[in-house]
Amino acid sequence: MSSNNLQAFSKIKNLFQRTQSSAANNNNNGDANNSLPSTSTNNSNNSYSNLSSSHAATTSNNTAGSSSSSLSSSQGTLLSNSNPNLLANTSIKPPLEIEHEFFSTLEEHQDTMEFYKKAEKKLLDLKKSSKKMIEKEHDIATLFNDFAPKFKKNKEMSETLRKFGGNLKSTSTLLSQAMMKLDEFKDKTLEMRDEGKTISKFRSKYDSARSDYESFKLETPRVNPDKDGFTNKPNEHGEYDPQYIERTKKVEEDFKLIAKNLNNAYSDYHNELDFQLLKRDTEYFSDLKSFIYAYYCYFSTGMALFQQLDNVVKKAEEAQMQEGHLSKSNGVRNIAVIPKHIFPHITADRNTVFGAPLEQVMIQDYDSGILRLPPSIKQLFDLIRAFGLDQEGVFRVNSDEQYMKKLIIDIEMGKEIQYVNKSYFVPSIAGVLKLFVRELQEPLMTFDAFQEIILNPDMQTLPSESSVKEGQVSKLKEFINTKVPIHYQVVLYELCKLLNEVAQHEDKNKMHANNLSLIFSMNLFRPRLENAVQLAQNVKHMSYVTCLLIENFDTLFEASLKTVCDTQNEDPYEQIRKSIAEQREEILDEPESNPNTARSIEIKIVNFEQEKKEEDSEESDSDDESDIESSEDVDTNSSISSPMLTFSDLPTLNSSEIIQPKRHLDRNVKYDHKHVTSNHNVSLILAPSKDQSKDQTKLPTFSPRIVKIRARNNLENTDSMPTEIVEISEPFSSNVTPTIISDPQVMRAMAPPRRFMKRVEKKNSKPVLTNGETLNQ
Amino acid sequence: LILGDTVSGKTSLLIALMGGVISDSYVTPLLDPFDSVVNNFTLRGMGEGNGLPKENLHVKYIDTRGSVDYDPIRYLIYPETNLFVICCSLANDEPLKSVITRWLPVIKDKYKMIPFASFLVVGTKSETTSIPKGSFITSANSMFKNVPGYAGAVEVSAMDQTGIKELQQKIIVVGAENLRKKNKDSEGCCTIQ
Repeated sequence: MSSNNLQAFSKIKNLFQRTQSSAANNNNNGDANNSLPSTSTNNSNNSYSNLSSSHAATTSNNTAGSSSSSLSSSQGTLLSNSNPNLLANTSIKPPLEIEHEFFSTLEEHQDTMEFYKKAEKKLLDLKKSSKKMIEKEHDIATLFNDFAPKFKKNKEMSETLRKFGGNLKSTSTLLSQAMMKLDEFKDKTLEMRDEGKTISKFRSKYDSARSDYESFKLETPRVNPDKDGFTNKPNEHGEYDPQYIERTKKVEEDFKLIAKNLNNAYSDYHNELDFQLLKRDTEYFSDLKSFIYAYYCYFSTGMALFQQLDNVVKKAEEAQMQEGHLSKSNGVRNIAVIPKHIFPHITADRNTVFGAPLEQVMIQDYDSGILRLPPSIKQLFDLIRAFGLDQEGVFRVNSDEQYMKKLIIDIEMGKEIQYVNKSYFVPSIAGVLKLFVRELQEPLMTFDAFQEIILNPDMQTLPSESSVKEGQVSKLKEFINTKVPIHYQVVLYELCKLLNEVAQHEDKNKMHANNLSLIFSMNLFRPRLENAVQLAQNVKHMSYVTCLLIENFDTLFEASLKTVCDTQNEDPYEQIRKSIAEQREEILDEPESNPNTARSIEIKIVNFEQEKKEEDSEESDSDDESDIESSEDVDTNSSISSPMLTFSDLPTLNSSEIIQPKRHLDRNVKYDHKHVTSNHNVSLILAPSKDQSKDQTKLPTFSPRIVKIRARNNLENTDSMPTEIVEISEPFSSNVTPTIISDPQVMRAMAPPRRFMKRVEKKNSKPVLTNGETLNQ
Repeated sequence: LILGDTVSGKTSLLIALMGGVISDSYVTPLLDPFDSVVNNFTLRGMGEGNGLPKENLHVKYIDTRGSVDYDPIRYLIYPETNLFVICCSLANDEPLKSVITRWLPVIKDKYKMIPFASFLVVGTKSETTSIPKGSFITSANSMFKNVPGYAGAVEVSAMDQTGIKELQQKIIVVGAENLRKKNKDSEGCCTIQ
């Protein structure tokens, strides 16, 4: 645009010069003098004015591009505004021969001028708006200054709100992941269906072989004596015609061949069938598992978030209500206020455990905000604790590479490692653990540690006095508590704890702290720029510092971190995983029994309204316990009109309740079952049948619901960490509805969630808790 | 340079090579930080009859740590090496497995860079194994026949000193040869690493 304008200007300039010269000759430039004083005297001035106008145009061009400098733009626009006025108002009469050309260029120029006008307007608008913005900012600044003390009060709330916002993002990613998982699952099923068609291929092969065989069987008297010119009857000496013998032999051979083919086809068919069945069972279920896990993660995190928000809001309200009073302290939760740089992920498939940033590997508990190792890594620690402490040369002996690869894949898949009674098991586990530590993107002691600790002359001197050593330890402690991020601290703590335990079994495993430190020093410290020479030079110092770490791990970490790490060993999702895994095993274990019918004994889908009626009718007949149960159900039904979905208390569920309610049923009492489905509400009803339940009223264990309650109470009592199960006073209505899966297998696998729903509903009714407590006592 | 998996008896072998006697099989090897066992010692008269000068032989052994964690450091000393001594414990079920999977690729890669280095395969702890004598050597010979730089295999027991002398001879001969190839006007003082 600007180049066009420039061209237009130069054209006009040329024309002007020509016209001016001609006008000067004809003494016809009076009008021009009025508007352009500079052109009044002589031609040289004319050219100057043209130059200035062109200059103005260029400046305007520039200012149109750069909207920031408003002063120059206004100048430019003023100048550019003067130009069209000049050209439009002056009745310049160009010479006839260039008249047409002149006017066309003039029009062109006017167009561009309009553009400039528009641009200028826009600029002015922008200026105005920016002024407004600045005013607003000022307002906000003043407001902020006024409210700064108030904000400080609500700092916690604002932080949690920020956290909530951040977490919401992660939940959305979780949802997308879950959806992806679903898609993958669908694809997988399709694929498997396609692959299943190979069975039919083999089947057809087998069929054709069979038909061949049978047709051959039918056609066996192919030896036609009359046609072929020999008889099939023995002659008078009892001898057969040699031709006939030959033929029969041939036929026999053919027959054998075909029979063989048939056998082969049959075995192929069966092999393929078995293979496909196995594949289906394994792949299908693993996929299903991951999908469900993803979905569950999404729901649980979302619910936890909402609850957190609810809590925050409630607290804020309370604080407003009773100002001046001390707000309730969060207790251990305060540790849970995690630094900003941590962005927690609970990912359903952890494809990158090894070589991933630790922020991604660690699990953060949304309720308490506590960081913990993922179960896949945690189990390594446990396995070494269980089997490796007395093993000679733990962490030192070379591991079996192939087995290690298998282990790595297993861990990436999130599988549980089974103990193998082989010589290479413990070394491999230790090797995998070392690998995990080594492959972290940043070493556990962070890159800065190499510069600040290892290359520090204070740390390099081997201590002769205990005071020197203490100073080194305190320095190390300071570094760990200030420079090392919290999630690194957690892993470091776990590792040092384990190593210390190993070192304490020195007499058996011959690995004292010195030895261990030699091995782990290379993994814990690494300079930012890999420099092997530097590494080699500092091996001694590194191992010395690592030795300090292992020996003094007790004093190096903060007490709060220690308590958190020591108490929070249980994985809240472990039970869910277990339940899914065990369910799968159950299904695999009993292929002969129809699982559909077996399941339908336990899982009832009951419409609330119908259930209510039925329960009412039952109430009169059933004994005390069932009475309580049914009344509870009635309570919940009456209080809650809409179906509610909360997974909030999932982690505290006892796994045995989820997995094997059947055993409870079988062992103790027979149950009546109702199977009612509805579109809106899903529920689970387990009502003891009338005759048997009366006999066993004194056994509290046989009612799964009470066992559940007991389990939860136990959990609440024993768990020193306040995971703080939040009681929701109002029903939480969410727009999220579970996807309805029509596949019976999926339904089977989805059974636990359904139970959870029911549990939540029961939880809301307070009598359950009291009953559970009384029974517990 | 002595390579080998952990607990394959590298340090024991070294001590035996230096003339020490190993009393317990699992006391010393744990304490072998890298570079700690660099040995300079003089052998007198070992070169006789091998076409080597009868002057003092100066052999430098470098022990390494077999652990995977020390991989980045171990590469540092490869360029100076004249002879790799790869140890593998005969007490294992498949002694040559780790040689093939782990150490040989390194040697092969490095062999391009160090053209005058060769490697010896040493089966240690021969007193513990149930394999008949010599089978290890034959299997190694058949396996590494076509690998460039293969200098031979020796079966050794650091405990009862069997095969140590043989190994020493071989190390000196091969190392001196490599050195002569590398540096044609060597002055009788061979450094075998």
